[in-house]
Amino acid sequence: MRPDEVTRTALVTVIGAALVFIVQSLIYKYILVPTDVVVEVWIKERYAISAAIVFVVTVASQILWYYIATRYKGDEKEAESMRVPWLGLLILSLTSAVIGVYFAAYFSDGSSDPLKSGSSEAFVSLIVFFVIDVLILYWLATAISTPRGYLMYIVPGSLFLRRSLLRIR
Amino acid sequence: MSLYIIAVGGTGAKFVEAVAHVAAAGLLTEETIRVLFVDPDEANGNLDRARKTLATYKDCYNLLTKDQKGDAKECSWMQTPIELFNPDVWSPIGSRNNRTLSSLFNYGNYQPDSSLRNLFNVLYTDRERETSLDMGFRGRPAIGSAVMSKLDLDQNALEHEPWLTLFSQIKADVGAAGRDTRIFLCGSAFGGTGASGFPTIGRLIANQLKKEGFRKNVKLGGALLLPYFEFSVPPDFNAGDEIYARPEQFLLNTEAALRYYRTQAGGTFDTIYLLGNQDLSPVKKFSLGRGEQRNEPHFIELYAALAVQHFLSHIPTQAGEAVVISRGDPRRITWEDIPGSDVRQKMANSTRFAFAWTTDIVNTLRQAQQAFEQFPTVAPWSIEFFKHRQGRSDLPEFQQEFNKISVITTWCESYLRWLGNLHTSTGTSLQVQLFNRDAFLDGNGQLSTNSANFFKLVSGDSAMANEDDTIPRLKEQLIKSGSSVIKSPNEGVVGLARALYVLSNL
Repeated sequence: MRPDEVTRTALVTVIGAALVFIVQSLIYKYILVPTDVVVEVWIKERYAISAAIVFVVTVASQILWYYIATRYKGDEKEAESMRVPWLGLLILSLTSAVIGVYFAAYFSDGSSDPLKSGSSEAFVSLIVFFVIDVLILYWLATAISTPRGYLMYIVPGSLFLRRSLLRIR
Repeated sequence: MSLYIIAVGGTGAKFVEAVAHVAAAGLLTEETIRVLFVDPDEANGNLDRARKTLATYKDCYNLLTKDQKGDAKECSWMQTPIELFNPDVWSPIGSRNNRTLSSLFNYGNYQPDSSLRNLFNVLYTDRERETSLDMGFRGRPAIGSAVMSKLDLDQNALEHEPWLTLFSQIKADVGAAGRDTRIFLCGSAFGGTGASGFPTIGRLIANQLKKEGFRKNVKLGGALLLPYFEFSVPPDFNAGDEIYARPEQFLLNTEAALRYYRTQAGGTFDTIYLLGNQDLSPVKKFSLGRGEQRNEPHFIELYAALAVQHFLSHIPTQAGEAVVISRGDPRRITWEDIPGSDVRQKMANSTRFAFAWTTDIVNTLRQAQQAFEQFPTVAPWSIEFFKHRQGRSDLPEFQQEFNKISVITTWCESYLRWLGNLHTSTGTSLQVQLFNRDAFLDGNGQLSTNSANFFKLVSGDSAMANEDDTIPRLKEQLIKSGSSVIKSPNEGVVGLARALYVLSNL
């Protein structure tokens, strides 16, 4: 990967991390406060772990895609078919979001401590937040930072984002 | 520097074909080369093919330089304008059809039993006197010499077109422009037209230059090709009254011609290149002349074209200087045997480009024609050269550029076929090991479609046979660097071809 591509993906990842670990926590703490849990405990015991799962899996998917794109040895004929592994990694990231939502909203560890239970009230917002996180950390990052080569515009919307919006190659 | 090429006979025409391909690789000059064919047989197949090669070259050259000529240091491809005179062929027997030796010399007007008539009868048989010269001099230097000697005696032989234009152009080059001007002749020493025309035309040109007062300002050189092919006359061939070239006389003709040049043509040429091969290559099909006289390109013609390169750069330091070149192994020709330090690199560059273009790029662009808007998704390099709604709006429309693709493709195919034929021209006793012919031509002489052979194209260096050296990787470099690979012109089909050419360099 070229320095500009590394810079872009690092920037998006930092923004994504800030969103996942700071902004969304603050939103739950002050704006969308769940009433069925003790919010500070829930954020610490449930949300932070869910967010970490989503973040790690999504960033790992992102890195794996960059690895695939860097190692790609085909040409135009096979490039189209490379959407399949990209979509596979997107599904993996979304699966981590589903797991994250389940863990933060419903998962019970069997203890009867109500302070440590999930927040079903946050279910919808968790879905929205985690899907946005996946879109930023995986789709946006790969759309604007896939290494220059046959796969650079394989990510949906990447041609528009790179050429028209950001005016980058 | 101005260069004039006078191609004498069928061998001269084949030499011009080689010159066009060598010039395309950027091995000659950036100045205009002006070509004149000398041949009494205007329907000669070799001449026809040379004309077609030049037409293909010119189409491609004009396409590449239409708006702007690129920097030669950056991309050496197609840097030489090649022009033909009008008319492009000059016939020493004039333009009338069915000329014979008798009609040219008014044999019918000689008094019976006159000494002139008797001399004519001694020198020429009835059939030689009466055979039509429309098909050239039939490999008979004796006929050609008579015709050419007549020219020699004619004080005004070169005072009509296309010679008038040629000399006025030389005058302009030498006089007002003060250009270094060179004339190069090429012909065979063993056939009819070449053997007789080469020294005579050389002398006529030298005399004319003297007359005009700028002989010293013009370097006159030539390549004389010694026997390098032979053919078998089919046992069932019924010549009727026709006379034809006899390969068994080639060596004898050559010996006589060389002796003549040594004694009679001294001082005409500043530099002469004598090129030959001890193993005579078999010509597949015997013919009397006309369209059927279409001999395959031969590696000797490549050497002759490279002699032009030497002639352009070399200034003889002393009279009678001999430049000698020979091959290291009598059974093969390798890059070690090719003169010129940049020949291998530049020809490899042309070959790799032509192969990549014909086996891959053309097909890819044809597919793109169906739905160009979606094409950059899988072929990001395309957006660097053609207008796209997500890309630069100042680039040419792909659909409007499409017909340019075939111009470049035609040149690539012409070049690859010529190159392939050089490798099969020698029969089995001698192998030309410059390129791997089988990598780009199949057994039937058809162009290969197997783009995977890309890394195998150039012979003689195992270090070059790198399996990562593939066309997809070449295009990947195109994606990474885009049109910035080259300076202008770097847009549209021309920009794509030039960028690919630069990247094809080893």
